[in-house]
Amino acid sequence: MTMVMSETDTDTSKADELPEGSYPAIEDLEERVRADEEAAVTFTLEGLTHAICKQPLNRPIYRRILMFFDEEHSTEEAEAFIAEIPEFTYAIQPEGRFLDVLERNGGIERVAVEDEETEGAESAEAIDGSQEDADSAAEAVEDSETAAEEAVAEDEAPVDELASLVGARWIVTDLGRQYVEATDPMAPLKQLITQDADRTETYLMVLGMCAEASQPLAEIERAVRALQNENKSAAQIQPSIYLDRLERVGGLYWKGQWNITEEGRKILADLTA
Amino acid sequence: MAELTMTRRTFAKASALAGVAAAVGATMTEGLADAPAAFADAPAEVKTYKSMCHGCIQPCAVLVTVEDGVVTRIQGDPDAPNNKTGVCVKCLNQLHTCYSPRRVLHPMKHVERGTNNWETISWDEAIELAADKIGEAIEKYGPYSFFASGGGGGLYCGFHGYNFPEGFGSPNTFEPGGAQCFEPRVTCAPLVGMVCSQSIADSRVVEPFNTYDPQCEMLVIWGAQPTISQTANSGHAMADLRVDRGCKTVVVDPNFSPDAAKADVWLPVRPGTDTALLLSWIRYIFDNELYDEQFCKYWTNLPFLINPDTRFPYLAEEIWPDYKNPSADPNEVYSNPAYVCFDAKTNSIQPFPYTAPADSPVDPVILAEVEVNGKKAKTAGQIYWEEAEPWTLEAAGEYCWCKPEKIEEAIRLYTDAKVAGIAHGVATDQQRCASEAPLGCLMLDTMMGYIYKPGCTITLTNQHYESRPIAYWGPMMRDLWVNQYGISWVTGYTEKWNRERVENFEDKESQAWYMQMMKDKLGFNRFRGFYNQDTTHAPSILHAIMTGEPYKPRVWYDFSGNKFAVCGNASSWYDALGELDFIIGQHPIVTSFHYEACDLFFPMKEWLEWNGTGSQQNKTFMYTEVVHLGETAHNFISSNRVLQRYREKYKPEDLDNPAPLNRGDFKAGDELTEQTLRNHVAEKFEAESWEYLKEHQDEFIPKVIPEEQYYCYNQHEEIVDDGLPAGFPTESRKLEPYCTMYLHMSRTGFPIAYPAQWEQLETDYNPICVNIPPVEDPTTDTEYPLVITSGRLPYFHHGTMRHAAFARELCPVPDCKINPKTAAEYGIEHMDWIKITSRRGSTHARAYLTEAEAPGQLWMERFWNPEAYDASQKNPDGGWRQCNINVLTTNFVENLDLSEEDFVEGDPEKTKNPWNLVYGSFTLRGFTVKIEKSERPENIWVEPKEFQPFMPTLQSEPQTGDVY
Repeated sequence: MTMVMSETDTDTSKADELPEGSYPAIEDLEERVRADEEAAVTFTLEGLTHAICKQPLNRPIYRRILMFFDEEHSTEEAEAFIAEIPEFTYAIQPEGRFLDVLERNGGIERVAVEDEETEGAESAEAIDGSQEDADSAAEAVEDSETAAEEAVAEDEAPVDELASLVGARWIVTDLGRQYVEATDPMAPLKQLITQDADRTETYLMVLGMCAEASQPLAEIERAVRALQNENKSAAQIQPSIYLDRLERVGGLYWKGQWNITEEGRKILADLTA
Repeated sequence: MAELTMTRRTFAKASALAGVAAAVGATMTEGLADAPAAFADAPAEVKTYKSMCHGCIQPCAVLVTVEDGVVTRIQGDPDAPNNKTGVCVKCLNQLHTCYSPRRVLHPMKHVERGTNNWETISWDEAIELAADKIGEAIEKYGPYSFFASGGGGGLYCGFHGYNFPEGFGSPNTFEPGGAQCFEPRVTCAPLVGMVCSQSIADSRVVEPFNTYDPQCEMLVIWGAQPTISQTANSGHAMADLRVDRGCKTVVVDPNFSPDAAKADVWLPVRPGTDTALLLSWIRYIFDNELYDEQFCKYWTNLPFLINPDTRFPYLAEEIWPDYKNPSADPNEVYSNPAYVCFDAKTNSIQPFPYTAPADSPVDPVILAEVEVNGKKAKTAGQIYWEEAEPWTLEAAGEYCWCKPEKIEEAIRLYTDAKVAGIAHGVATDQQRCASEAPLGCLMLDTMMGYIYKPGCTITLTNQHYESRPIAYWGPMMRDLWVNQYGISWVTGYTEKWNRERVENFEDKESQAWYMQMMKDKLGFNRFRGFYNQDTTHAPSILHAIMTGEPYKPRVWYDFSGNKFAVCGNASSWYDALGELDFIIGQHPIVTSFHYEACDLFFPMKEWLEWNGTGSQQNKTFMYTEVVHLGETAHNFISSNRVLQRYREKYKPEDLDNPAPLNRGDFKAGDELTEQTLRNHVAEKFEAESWEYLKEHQDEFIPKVIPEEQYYCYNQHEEIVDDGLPAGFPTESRKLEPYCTMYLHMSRTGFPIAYPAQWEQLETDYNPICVNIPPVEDPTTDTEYPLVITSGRLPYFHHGTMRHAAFARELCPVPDCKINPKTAAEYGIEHMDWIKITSRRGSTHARAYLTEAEAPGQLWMERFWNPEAYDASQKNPDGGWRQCNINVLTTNFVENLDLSEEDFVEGDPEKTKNPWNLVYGSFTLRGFTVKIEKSERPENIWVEPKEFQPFMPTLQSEPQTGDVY
């Protein structure tokens, strides 16, 4: 980003003297935005999955958001929903960041609203990808960046990026739906619990405990160790393995203590019926 | 005055681009006020301070010039015995790195991994976040869900970080070096009986550089390059040794290093075949009776007869139950066992008690096979000779790609000297032979009697014994485990003494807890050599992360460095990121690791901002904090604060818990501040305060041990309080080149696990040097027919300083050295870009054609490219794949998944024991690759002008006070 000149100063020669490899001039920026946007329009399930899974604490949050957008919702509605997701208690990113990541990786898309201008190059470009929109997108970026530069402090940069979410409406994409289907917990849960005979009983016990009430780690450890002592054919492994595995496939979640999910409740009912 | 429309953010960005002068430019001049003439004309305030460089693992003493608060010059301190007035590029890089626009000056939270999009936060918020993420994981899964990692030698975190997780109840810390660098060669020596090792890289070798009474006339540098790795310190000292004192050298190194270029004999050993070459030396010395027979008879266990069933030396009482040992301690405190030998005086087997050589009742034979209780038993010396027997000069020459006559010439230089020594380096630590190679090096100096003599490499400085020498096992061979947890055997004391110590240890709860932690430490049961640093087998941690078993480490605190540049099989760690809940890093700059992986970042000080102490020979110097930028902190402070906050919030009952071990000078419970660290330095120099010390350095620096006291010899012969010669700190009180401790470790975990007995491993650890072939062999590998090895460059240390602009101008990208004949086979010309591929992946380098590499052999340094995520890049990336040999190396983590029937010895992908048996060392050098011509990769810079964005810009950054 070049220096912003004062109104009285028309000498731009200093900008020309910036060494190579430094921040690009405005004309380069337009080209970069265009190149980035062209590169960004090719979304893949692999790319979306990578973006969702690279921070595992956020994985269940993203999935729930994608399911939420099975119907159209506004940013504000989504943020309210996200705030209530149990796992979100432990996230370090704000609600809007999740929408931003999903949009940038093709999991959700903006719903066009008639007679409403949206700010931000990315949001404009997501509509139809035309050159005209790319041009206005570049202008919007420049305007938005100029405005951002005149804002208060450097550490507001993340807020700048998320400002474009305000007022938007969203829907899940086909890709997002594919991800949700591919990560449906029921089949993996069943497989997890039944594939190793020496672990089945313990998995069901842990699920059963959490179905009755939230459980602290210490209680689960105590119960697992007791079962292992009583039944020497049960896998003699660390109790945390059961928790890790059940949480990973969506049978349990943590909110101060271990709790069973709806899917976990269903599978428990199926397997103990 | 024109209104300034430049914000602080744009000013900072502009100044990062072009320096303060350009950023001022036309827009700012009208906003500048005229300074008073007196101020403008006043001379700069110039001060010079004594300090130390931390550019590598061997600190040099330096003089630092500060002008108006800005460091402008660094030069060598003439008082320094090794570096004298010299410094190297690594030191001078600090002028760039300390003021680099890449410096991180505030704690940051990563908006999203892999974006380099950070949010600046306060220290309080950062500490709270770190404590919470660790605390949450521990509440959910237990303390084993947390682990840490350190950096390499010369690391910025210090050993303080190694058992940091113990403070949270977790046993796991790994180091990318560790078992691949330092541990094998440094811990093998005490197990054989030497207090100090042959490691020249870690300042263990000091005697050759003794100028007080110089005696060193011959040095073998085996797998090390001091001129490159510690250029101004032992590199400078080597130059003085060769030039001023005519010391002869032999260099054993596949690479024609500067040390090799100056050597009297260079043995270009094929990468991975060092043990065969060592055995050829041992055989030659035995065959030609060049060894010091008297020393071997009375000061080593080579004459001991070995029980063929147990593989341990016979004790006299096993053969003669009524034997009365004349050297037994009547108080049953010290242990002086009597063994069994074949006595040349009586031509029979006899008890062999510990005595002064002149008082020995026997004349023990070193090479013998005799009958003991109806069984054929050999002496340890005989066993060694038989192992070496196949390795004639010709056999070794062919296998190791050396000329037999050159091997002989090298051996003769070594044996014909009045005294000589082997200085060993990191090379063999990075191979499967990591424990066997140092055994061979130690055997050579032992059989030659080059021990504790003027001019050799194994000496004991500033130390004499008053009593029988003893040895502690555990972190850094100090009494930490013994005192804090009441565990581990102390060698030199009797069984009764050790048993009573354990039984009487009061804190049984801590004792039991720590014993369980040792058992649960990942990979420790199999690779018991990790005891010295109390670290963990890195592939075992990685395997647990990926599989979740035996438990899943998931919150990571990394203390230093770029893990993707320095970890073997770097891609395997990248693949693990999706299994790691939260990753905390600390460093002066964002590296590939922080870019790809970290969620939270603590900004660390550079060494110009440190306080501390370091030594060179008999002199101790001081690291002096001469500047301080931003909110950076000393590397001890962030972790200490995180542990404190965690305990306050999640485990208040542990606030007085002494864990982790007090390894450095500070305990977990100490509330560390920068002033605490300063005061500690002042205490070391006995100054009234740090402030006084800093302004009166000439009174205190260096702190000198008188040379006549520091350089001392033949301590093993000094008579101690039991009337016997001191000997060595082993079970036998002699040097044990037949390393019984390796056998003990693999059988029961003794001495470290004592009083527990661990399961016996499937394979004994080798007690002597045996030939360990490399896992991948270019002579039989048709798919990957070339062998590649690695080493350091003089411009950088480990993963550091790739953002030092001038150093990058000198060395913009790693060159891959290749023999012209080999290059021609692939149509490759000098300076062509090439793609190098192993079974793990591909990377790139420029081909540097040279006869200095053997045909079929390549040499390349690990590298990473911080420019890859410069703001100017169109498609930024982490910069660790383009030119990094660690994309090619292997940690064999996949072998931990293989079942019994999958293993095929000789198959590089299915070998059961691809790691070193003792340390789990995997292969970073001497593996197979293929090459092809290629193009320059994306996002890397090569031309000098491209490095302009790395030029230092923070000189005008205000000096700041302490964060804590």
